[in-house]
Amino acid sequence: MNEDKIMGMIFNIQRYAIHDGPGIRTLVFMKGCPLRCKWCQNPESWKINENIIFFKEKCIDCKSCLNSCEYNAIQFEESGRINRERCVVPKCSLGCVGVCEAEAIQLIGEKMTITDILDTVKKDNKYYINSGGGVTISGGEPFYQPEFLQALLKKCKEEEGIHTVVETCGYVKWEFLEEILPYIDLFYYDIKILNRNEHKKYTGKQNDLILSNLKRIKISGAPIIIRVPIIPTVNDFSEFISELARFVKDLSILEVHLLPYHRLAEKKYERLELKYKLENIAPLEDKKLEDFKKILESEGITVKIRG
Amino acid sequence: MERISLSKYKQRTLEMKKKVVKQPKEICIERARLITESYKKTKGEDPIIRFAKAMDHILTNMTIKIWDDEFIIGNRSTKFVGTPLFPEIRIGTIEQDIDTYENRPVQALFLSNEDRTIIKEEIIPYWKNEEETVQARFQSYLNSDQKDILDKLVFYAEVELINGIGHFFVGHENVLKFGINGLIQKAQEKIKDFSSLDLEERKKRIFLESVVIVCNSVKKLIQRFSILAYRMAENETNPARQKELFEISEICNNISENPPNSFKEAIQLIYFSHLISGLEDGGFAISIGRLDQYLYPYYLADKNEGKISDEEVQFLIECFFIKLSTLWNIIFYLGVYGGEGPPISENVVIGGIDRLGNDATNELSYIILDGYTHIKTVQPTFSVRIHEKTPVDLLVKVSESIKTGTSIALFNDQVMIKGLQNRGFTLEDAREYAPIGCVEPQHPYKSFGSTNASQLNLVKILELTLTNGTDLSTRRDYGLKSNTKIDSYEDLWEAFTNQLSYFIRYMVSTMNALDRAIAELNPQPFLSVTTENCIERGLDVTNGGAVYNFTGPQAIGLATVSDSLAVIKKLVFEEKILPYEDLVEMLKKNYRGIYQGRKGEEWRQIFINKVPKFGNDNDYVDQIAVAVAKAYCDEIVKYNNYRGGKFNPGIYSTSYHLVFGALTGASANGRKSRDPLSNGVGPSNGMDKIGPTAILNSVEKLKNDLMTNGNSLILAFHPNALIVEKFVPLIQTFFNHDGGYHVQFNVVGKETLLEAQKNPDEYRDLVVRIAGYSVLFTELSKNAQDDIITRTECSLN
Repeated sequence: MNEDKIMGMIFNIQRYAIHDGPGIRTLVFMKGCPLRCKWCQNPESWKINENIIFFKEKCIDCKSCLNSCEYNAIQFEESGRINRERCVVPKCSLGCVGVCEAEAIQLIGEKMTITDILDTVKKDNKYYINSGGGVTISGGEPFYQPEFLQALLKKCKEEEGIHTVVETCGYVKWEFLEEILPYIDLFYYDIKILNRNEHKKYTGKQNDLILSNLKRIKISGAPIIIRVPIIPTVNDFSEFISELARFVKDLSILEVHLLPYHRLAEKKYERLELKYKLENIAPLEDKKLEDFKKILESEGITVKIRG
Repeated sequence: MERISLSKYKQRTLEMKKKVVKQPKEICIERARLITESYKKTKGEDPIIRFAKAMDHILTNMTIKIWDDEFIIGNRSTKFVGTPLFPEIRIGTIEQDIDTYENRPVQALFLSNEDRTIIKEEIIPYWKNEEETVQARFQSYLNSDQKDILDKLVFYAEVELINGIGHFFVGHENVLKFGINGLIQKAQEKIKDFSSLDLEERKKRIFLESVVIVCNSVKKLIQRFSILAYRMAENETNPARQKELFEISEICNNISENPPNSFKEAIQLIYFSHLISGLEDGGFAISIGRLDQYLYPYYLADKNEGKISDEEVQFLIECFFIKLSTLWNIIFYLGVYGGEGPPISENVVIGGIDRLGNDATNELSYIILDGYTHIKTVQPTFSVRIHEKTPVDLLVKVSESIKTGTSIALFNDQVMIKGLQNRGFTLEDAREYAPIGCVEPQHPYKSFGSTNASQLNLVKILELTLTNGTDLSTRRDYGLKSNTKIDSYEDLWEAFTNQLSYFIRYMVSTMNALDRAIAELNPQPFLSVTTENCIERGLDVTNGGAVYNFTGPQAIGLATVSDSLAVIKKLVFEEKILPYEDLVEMLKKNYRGIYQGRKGEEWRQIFINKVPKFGNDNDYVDQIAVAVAKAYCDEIVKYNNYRGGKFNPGIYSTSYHLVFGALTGASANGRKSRDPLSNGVGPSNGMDKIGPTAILNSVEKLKNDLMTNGNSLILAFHPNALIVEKFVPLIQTFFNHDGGYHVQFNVVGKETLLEAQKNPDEYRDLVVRIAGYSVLFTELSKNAQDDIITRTECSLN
């Protein structure tokens, strides 16, 4: 297969990633996600297609964009520059992005070939070798683009010998997972909520598929680390953590990472002109995290906070 | 000393440090008074002998002090934290500044009115009217052309003229080996080899006589300390302190003549040697060198005999560092912005390999590191040499220390040992290098490197190339003119390198005039006796007595100039979207006006956003930086210095990226007129977008072994982004055989710095790196503080 025929929709590649797997890594962020978690830190990843994002602080007010849109979707208002109802991106000539020299209007998402991605990934090869690192595919949900994911990971593993981690929400057809399994050295697998209806309330989908996939991956023998975003008022309860501890232990999974909720993404929502749904919740207390850690540790599970 | 617990010692040193941090800096006029008295009496004698006699007069008559509670003793001025004056170097700047020392926004210095009157009435008139200072002699060697160019500040050549040449090592290894008597004996024996009838040989005899005079005064000085300690002990009521004072007295008594017999004696002798050479020469960055190597035999012997514990050793190291922090230097007002922070940078290095190529890390290396991590004094400038064989344990400890906020400088042995060999070092000597001042590698007892000789503004060179000779800040016309029209990038590159050569030629001849003036009027007899092969050759270090002789000028603004060249190459010559003339006009107008239908500010955004910048691992611009660095280094090494050695290229900034920035017009990388230039070999402020590995990859490409006077790379890391087990491989990878030479980290979070700017009183002892040396953040100018804050932090994720 000529891997350059397949294109992936990527929205960021981040080097020197040190919280997403062993060693020093490069993180590849893929677009598209089946869930809509209310606390999502990467709302720009939801849609598989490109998004337009506007950075107010970068705008130099040159007004070059004013007549750049064939759909008349440019406005000069306090809230932003894009009339989102009129904007049809990417089904347009992307005039606004092209004229904005200050890079205040940017396109999120770029179709890339595997060669494009690996050109960047391989630049830090010697750092991976010396630190036991590699590449981590994140998103969005990487399995949202299964064909591309498979080709990318296969290339990393079989031709470049690069260690691979995939961060997944688990809401994936089992066939896809099964096919790509051989090319994944380590799963970072999210569990947010164990109750299926609560799960639907906060993420848009029930969690049956997620939990059954997790069991099947475990049976296949692939190493798994569970990641749990701890969101105040949603799942910051010791009952949930205790239940999680038993669930994880039953599966013989030995490591859990707790990711405390933070509000760093609020700006992103503003720039995408999306509504941030968790506006009024307080940040998590450190003490609570420590307590959760202890609960999990008492079941013999290794716990890291912030991964 | 009593055997007491580590925590007791730690408490004691913390108290001692607190006193130093709180202490205002003062000017002490005693040295200036004594040297003036002596010069009045020796008129007409040989200048070398006059200097030696003046040193004798100073050392014999200076007030000596032992401050409360200190165990390592010795004072260079009568003030607890103070600076002496060096009127023999330069008097005009003392006259200019005399009424304003207290009122400077940075580096304020206290001076009593009584002392001010003495300087005005006795010292200034004498050195102005009756003696030739080094500055005056230097000026007399410059022709009008050279003077004219020197005034333009394309390069700055006056660092060695502030108080003295500085930037060297005292050969502590030799002081320890021979002891003061041994050094005297060496010089005395050598005198016999030279005849007083032959003119050349007579000069050598004079030099050796100067050494004997000064070493004898050193002996007397240390004996005076011994007597003072004894008298203080006799009057001391606290029995523990009394015992210490008796011990101090005995230590001084022995080392006033003999090589040291113990660790305590060795470290005390090192401190005395450091002080003496700081009285002989007021220059900056008299460095300490490989402390863990030359003290190790004493440590080992004392440990084996059960004479000392590791706790005591750490205590002594901390005392030593505190004493280094009490030394201060005066900088004339117009010079303070070129080297903000403590005007002394006493580099200490641990680790590395030994002469035979084996790992040199030892138990003492760890104790020294622990001491530094604990005491976190602003001095010394703390360095660690790293090699393939460096134990991972040391790297882990160093990383942990950096995480606590000590910004230790790391050096790559593999690259610099190779580099120094290319400059004439033997392999064994190259393996023994140590950094001077900020980053400059030299041999610790065989070199006279004049490593911070001058600074050259690369961005100004490009500015003068683009304007065909006109300075955009002053509108003066003085650059090299070319009659060829610039039609391609190759044309521009040729014009740029011609302009570069033109100013390097001026810089070199200017430095040689200065080195000659220094050699004639400002010898260094004590430094020379400790430096090989001065005695054997009968030559002072300033006259070429050392085995290795260099003069090291620094290029400033590498990334700014490379990013600018990339913009011009891409937009003017490749994409042809902007005519060359428009670009030049735009820079002249600091991005005001309209060009090709677009506002200057829009063009500026295009320059910033649409052309790759150095530090992002992008070959388009990185290869331009490689070419600029190589052009600079190749040109510098063509020249010989006054002492029979070579000019030696470095790329680090101290604070000259700020000073030169303020004197430089807009540049094509999007930088506006007067904004700072890039620092060392690092990216332009805010232009590194991809994180540390990309920066390191870019810097690696530069062929770091060409920059044999050192280069510097400072990375700002948020404390949360420093995870030790990932940080160690980051360093190990960067420090490969063809990798980087130097890197150091600011791990203080941006929030903390902003907070410290707002509430300076609560952050008095916050130490940050500015450019190769540590500073107390709150003592910096607003400008320098902002520079540190705006350097992007390598991102968290």
